[in-house]
Amino acid sequence: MRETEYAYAVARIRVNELKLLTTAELDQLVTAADYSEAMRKLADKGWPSPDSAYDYAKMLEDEADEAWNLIKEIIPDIHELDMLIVKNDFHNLKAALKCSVNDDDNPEDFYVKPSCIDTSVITQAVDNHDFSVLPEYMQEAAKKAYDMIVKVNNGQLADVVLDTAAMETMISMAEKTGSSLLVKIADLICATANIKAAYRSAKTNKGQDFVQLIIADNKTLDKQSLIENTIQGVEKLIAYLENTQYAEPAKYLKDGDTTAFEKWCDDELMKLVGQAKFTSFGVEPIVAYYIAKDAEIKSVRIILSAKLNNLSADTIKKRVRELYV
Amino acid sequence: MISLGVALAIIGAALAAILSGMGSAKGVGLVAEAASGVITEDPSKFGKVLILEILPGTQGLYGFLTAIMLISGIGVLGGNVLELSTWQGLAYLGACLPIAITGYFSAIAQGRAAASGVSIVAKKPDQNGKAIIMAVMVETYAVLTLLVSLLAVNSITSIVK
Repeated sequence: MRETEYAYAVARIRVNELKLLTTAELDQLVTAADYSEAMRKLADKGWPSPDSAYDYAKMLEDEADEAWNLIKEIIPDIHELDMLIVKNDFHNLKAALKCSVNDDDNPEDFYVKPSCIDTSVITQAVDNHDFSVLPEYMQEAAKKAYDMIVKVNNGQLADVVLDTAAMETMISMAEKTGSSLLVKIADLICATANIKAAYRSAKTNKGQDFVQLIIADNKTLDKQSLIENTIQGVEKLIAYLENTQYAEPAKYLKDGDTTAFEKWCDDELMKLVGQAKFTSFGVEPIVAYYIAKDAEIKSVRIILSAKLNNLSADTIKKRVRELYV
Repeated sequence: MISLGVALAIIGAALAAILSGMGSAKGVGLVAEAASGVITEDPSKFGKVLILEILPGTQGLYGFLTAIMLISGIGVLGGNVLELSTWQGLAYLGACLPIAITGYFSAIAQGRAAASGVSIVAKKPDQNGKAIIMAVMVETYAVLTLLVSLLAVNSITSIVK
């Protein structure tokens, strides 16, 4: 698709970027006296007020839906953004498989939106054990995961297979867009997910067979080296990461500070996404807006939850993420 | 009977009008798309984005002006067509090429610059002057080639007459 076909969409996104919270506004939320004041400040910025005093989860869900609906309305072909939401399809497949084994007839209760394919297709595929109705990128992983749940009775392995397939599918979808920024974004998401999974595996002394399943192929971290170092333990893994471009997050893992590591992953993604602020055409500003909105919702969730638990402003500040604007 | 020279001159006039007009249509269309995006969210910015939308339209006018100067110079408009040799016709055709080609590409480039300027208006409406200046810079090259084409058409007409 010609990049100039996004001129209308990008212009609308630029106007909507003005509605995103700024760092100063987020600071005001952090320093708000209590939960109610934080909610009032959000309402002043145009956020909807939740029905009940503590029902902020629904409000955040509505904000996410609104952002996706806006994108769906303005983009000529919504499948250009499949890389952003394909992980939800794999999550839905996981939910359907688990419900199927547990004789739960309502997998819909566990499905998440938005998704690339209709959730009824996933339900149908799992109910009939016919994975050929799924998109090609899901078929093999779906069969493997099904075998692991039904034959080996190992739900964790099934999760791992689907998570890895989700990451690899996201990278391949990003590559198909032809945008170097989207490829970098997908690669960073995949690399940080690999590091997280490798760290957890090293901590719990998982063997090579398991580690091989959890590491997805990506460009910035060599899969084989990561696997080899993970099975040798946490120290070896961190020593390896210190010699890669992920030396900074490795430092947090060395200190056992997984919260700081998670924050680094989100902030680094936001820095990368920030490059789209200087792009006038193409799909990048739209992807950047969706990721920025997601990060904003995550920060608001952290703040509101902290306010409900009476955490200090200093503690909250350490956890809130960098913003796009 | 129209000579080959006259036919070549008219082809030149047609290229000037068609190519620069096509470029302008593409450029204005692109800015219009971006402008519509902004107006959907904030109709009060219509005036500011309209100026940006108009900018890539000038190349079409330049091509039109060159074409009118040429066909009027050789008498096609008045019905008293000059006798032109093939070389004279080719000279007219060559004179039209600067505005035809540069008009086409500069209008598209200006459209992209102006559509980017629409993003400036969307986020910082008080900075719209800068967005206009950025887009207007592209105009320089269209104006230079308009001058080349007009001077060449006039000179050839004075030689032919």
